[in-house]
Amino acid sequence: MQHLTFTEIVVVMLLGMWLMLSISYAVLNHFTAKVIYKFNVFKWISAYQLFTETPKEYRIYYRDQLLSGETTDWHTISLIPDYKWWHFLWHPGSLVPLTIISTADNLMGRITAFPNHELNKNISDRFNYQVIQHYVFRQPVPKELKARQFKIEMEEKLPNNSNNVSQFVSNMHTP
Amino acid sequence: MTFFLTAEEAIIWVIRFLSIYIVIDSAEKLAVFQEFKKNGLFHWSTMRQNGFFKKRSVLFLKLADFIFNSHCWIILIAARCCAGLTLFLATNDDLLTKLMLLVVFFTGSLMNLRNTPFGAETENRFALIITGALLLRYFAPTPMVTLACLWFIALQSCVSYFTAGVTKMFNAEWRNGNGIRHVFESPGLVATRKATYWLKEHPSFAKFLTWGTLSMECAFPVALAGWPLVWLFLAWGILFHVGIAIFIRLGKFFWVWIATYPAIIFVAH
Repeated sequence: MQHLTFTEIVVVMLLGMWLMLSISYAVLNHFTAKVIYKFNVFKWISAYQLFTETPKEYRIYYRDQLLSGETTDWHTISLIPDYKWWHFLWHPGSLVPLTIISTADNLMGRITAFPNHELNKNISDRFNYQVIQHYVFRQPVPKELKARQFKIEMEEKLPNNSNNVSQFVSNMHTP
Repeated sequence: MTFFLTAEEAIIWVIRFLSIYIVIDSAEKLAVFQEFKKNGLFHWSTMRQNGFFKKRSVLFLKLADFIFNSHCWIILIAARCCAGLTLFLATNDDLLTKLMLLVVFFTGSLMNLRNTPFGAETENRFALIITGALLLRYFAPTPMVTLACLWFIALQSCVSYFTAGVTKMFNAEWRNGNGIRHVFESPGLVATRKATYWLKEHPSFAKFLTWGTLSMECAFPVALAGWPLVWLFLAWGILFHVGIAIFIRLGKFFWVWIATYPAIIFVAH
């Protein structure tokens, strides 16, 4: 039998350990995630569970309070870029909408999981909330703007084929 | 007739497919680089507000402030793009390939770290695993290590499909055969309404697609059993990823997962 050099043994062992950790992460996801969370900052160990959950629909709206005291109607922010045939190969425009949808998903996940929880009183301090707020303020701003408020609607399919719509309305925020 | 790849050829094709992903992904990020600058969604000052970074040491944050600010970041992304291009063109030069894989692995790891607040991108997570294995192989490019590297890539690919299939089985909608229909009914995912209406009018075909996806994902490791099964699974895999690229516009997944196929072909034979 061919003798392996020290480097060969090290490389093969590293690959073996990496594979075992990946399998363990995929099979015992929550348990392994807790153990390796601190060390997995570069996400070298991952599990792939794409489209496992039934997709939810997110709609984001904003409305303005003007200096005159008047409040405008809700404006919709489109999160669906126009479909072009080359998007299967080249689609840089998807980066922002997909990130906003994922952020809204995280925020709504927390709000709906703990509807009356003490922690949600400070929801505006949370990163996901601030990202949505930042994105909402990037929409056209009228000169006479005093404050802006946003609303997220989450629509999910229930097992009985009906739809459930959850809603979150933010406070008014000054620019 | 069987189509066979030698270990060296398999490595070269893995690198080629992977490099296409790296070039496209880096170029897409450069195309929207204004989002990484001030007031952009991915500006470092925004990302830094996340609890994950707030808890880090002062030294870590000083280093991160230097690397992740937009000036340094654009250089790193451009370097990743150039490394991808070099990998595609110069697969015969061992030293150059090793250096470029190092650049790709280093920048890819930093991308995952920087993107922690939003969650690391799935394609990049998987691409890093392939890059890491190739990089390790270039430290000792002997037949034994090359074999281990190809087995590693092939098994990681099988684990990814298997996990995706089994976790879908826990969702009643997928078990009822409605998984694909729900994906197509989501305008955030599938923008081509024609396909959505067509699937609504052909519920049996939607169920067939759902069960086809579930069965092939769960059974994917069988591809390693050899000819002719390997070709059946790889043909399905190509169609599956082309479908995802066209309808869900996640084209980068195609290049990353297809990059593992030369390793699967080699291992299966």
